[in-house]
Amino acid sequence: MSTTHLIVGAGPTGSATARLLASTGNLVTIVTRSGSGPAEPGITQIAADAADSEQFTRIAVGASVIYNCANPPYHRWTTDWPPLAASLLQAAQANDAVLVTLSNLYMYAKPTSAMRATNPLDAPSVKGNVRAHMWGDALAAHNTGRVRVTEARASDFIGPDVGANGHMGDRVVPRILRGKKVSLLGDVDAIHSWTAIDDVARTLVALGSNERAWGQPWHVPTVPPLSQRALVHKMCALAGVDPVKVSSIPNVIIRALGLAVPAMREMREVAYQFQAPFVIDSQETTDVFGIEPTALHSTLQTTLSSYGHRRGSDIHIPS
Amino acid sequence: MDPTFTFQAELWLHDSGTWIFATVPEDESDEIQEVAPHPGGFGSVRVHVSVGETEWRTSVFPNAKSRCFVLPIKKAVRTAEAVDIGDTATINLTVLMD
Repeated sequence: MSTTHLIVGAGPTGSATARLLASTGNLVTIVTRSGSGPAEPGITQIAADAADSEQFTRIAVGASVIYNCANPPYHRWTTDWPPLAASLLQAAQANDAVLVTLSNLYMYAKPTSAMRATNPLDAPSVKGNVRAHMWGDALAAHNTGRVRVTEARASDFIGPDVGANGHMGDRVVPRILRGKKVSLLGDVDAIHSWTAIDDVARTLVALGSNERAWGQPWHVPTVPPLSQRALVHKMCALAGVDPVKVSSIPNVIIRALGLAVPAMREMREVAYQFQAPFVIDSQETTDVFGIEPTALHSTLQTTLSSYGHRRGSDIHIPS
Repeated sequence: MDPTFTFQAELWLHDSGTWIFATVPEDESDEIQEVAPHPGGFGSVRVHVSVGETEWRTSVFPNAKSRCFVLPIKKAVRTAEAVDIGDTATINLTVLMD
């Protein structure tokens, strides 16, 4: 088997990472339950349960780097993440591959300043603790010389493929393009960090291929923070529509939705991220690996055009 | 027959203070780069390695500074061959071509 890069998960980040690797001549295998993923030269799709340790270790034969871009639904983190993370760690160890995990900022305490990768892990949520344990287990295996691991931590995603799960995806962008008001979570004027999907992919690839990265977590290079309202109005400006009205979804509605929708119920413990400034400091990653975050207007333009917006020749239509 | 290289290299400790690597010398690194089957932009190369009696499969990764490949040497190998930081080991490395 000649796989050298094995990606778990074909969501926006796993797919972008697969495309980036394949476009530069690397062999990529992407594993999902359904066998989905970008159908492009150099990318092989495999349908498998990556949490099945025996099967996944076999799939990982020949892998130089394993990327964990999986994303179980919010309400299944406590049940789905531990076996999945253990399986990936085991497969990396058995094949002497590097394990690069895509994670987030949930494992830090409620921030009072910009979060750095050296912050202590003190999660104010169950989901944050799941993530903190995953990293703890991986680092322990690294520190005993059994496997090499690293982790990229990102804030909420922006980009053309964030889809139905993204804060600035299907629920928001089509409305902006039609000039309609949008309702968002928490304090719409609190500044917030937005990480571009493409920058996640670039960072994962850099961490996997550079031994300097291994044994510690890194923050994905991210543009300066801006509030949800400011972000929406920037998109309006780029789309050439008048600034739409931006309001906060009333808590009573969120609670009511939570009764019916498990994923919405799970929002409650992480709602703090949108009620106050939530900012990532990613300077160290830029300094060490030379990765600058993609300009915000460029990420927003490709996002708008992916939803069918066309305005003159200055819009790049993603392939 | 897959291309094989034999060289001596000193074992060094990674910045994180836990993992140990050997740097493939410049000439051998250049040759590995030339014969590598998938010279992608991110340059890891699958190899079969032996040190003493211990054999294993892994990958070598290009080091940004030295422009040489680095070879991770896991704990199990160091224990089996009784080699550690600062020791010079004789390393046989075969590039896997498939």
